[in-house]
Amino acid sequence: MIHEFIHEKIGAYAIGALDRDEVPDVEAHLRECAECAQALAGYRRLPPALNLAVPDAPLPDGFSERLVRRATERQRPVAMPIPFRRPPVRDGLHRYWQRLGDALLPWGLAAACLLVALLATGRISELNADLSEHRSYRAQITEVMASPGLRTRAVEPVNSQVQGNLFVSKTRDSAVLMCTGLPPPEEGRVYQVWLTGGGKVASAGTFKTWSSGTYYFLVHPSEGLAPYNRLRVTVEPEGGSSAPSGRDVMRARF
Amino acid sequence: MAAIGDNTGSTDEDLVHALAAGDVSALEILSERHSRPAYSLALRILQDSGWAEEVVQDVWLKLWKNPALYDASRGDLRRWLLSVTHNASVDGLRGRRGTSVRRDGGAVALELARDTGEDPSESAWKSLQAERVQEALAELPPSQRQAVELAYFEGLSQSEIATRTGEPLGTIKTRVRLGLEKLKRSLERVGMRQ
Repeated sequence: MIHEFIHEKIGAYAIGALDRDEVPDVEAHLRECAECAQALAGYRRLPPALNLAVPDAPLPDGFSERLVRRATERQRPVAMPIPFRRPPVRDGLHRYWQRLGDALLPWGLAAACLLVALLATGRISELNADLSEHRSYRAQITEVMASPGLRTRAVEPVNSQVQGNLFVSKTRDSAVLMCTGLPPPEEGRVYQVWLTGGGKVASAGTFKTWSSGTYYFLVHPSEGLAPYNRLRVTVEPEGGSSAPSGRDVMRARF
Repeated sequence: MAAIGDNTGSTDEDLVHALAAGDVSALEILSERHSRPAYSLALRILQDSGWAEEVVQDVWLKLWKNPALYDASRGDLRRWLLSVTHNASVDGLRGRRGTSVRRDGGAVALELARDTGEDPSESAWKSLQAERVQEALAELPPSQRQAVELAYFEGLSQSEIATRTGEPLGTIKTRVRLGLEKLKRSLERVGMRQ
């Protein structure tokens, strides 16, 4: 009786036409009833089809130009999540500059403040080196992601809400881990990327995320990707560990 | 911002990768390819050209800000764009009406079958699909078509449709159910199984 009652609602559920108070019962039944789940799969084809069933309307003049303007007016997110890739922290002063640079550089509005601070301390050459490294890092990521035959592997979250993909380039023998929804690590912690395969575990580096939770990490081991078939990310003490010791947050296959 | 060169011959998936790497020209090319059907859908739902443009641009900007929102393994970009545009438009309508947003969220996009790769005849094929869906809708009895369209393009629940049309709720439920069943069968008959 319940089955028939719910079954009649599947179509309306698929296009979002049920009243809110009807939805929980339908979803509970769908989890238990293979027949209704199969019926739902059939109705799921309707929304994409209905999306096509509208009168064709020409785009307003200048639509794409306005879109590009809006995109470039905003801070490009890629510039924010790809931070400087530096060796482990060397001293307190260096750590201070790392944090200041990481926090302020992506935002143009803060550039003036940073410049004043750098001029005052004579550290502008270090910043230039960082910027150069940052640009080089971004260029490498761009090259990998634009390479032909790029393969996409979904990232599997582990005890986290992270989403993302691992882009694997055979021609570059490299990969880019792109993830979002990864919160900044706790104070004194970093995320560490590990490559595993054939009983071997190697660190590919560490990174931190900021409030956007989005990050692009270049995987480019000197020995290439061939020895490895998996990637995992763990939380480790700042500076990184010699072997995975903290909790896992995501993993992916090459 | 690093440019990735001439993308005009690239597939959507290539362009999304380029977009993820910060190439704004990839965003422009994708917009030129796919904004028109998305704008048409938003305009059908919102009945306001300025609002429709804003919704479609917001969808693109979300992808620009977070390219991971689109997963190529789950369906082609145009379907994703249309699905997200539909949800955003209906949510906008419902927000203006003061009713709650729909619950289906991105589930529709997640259910899409895989459909990758560009084809020279793709545009013609999509036009044909659109014609077939429009014909299938036109074949429905007017009362069933109205119920389906109010639900899908105006985001009304069955109770809200009953209130809007003045028909009993049970009648509306029957019309929605029969209309969707017929529509599904019609599309299957003409080979649109995805």
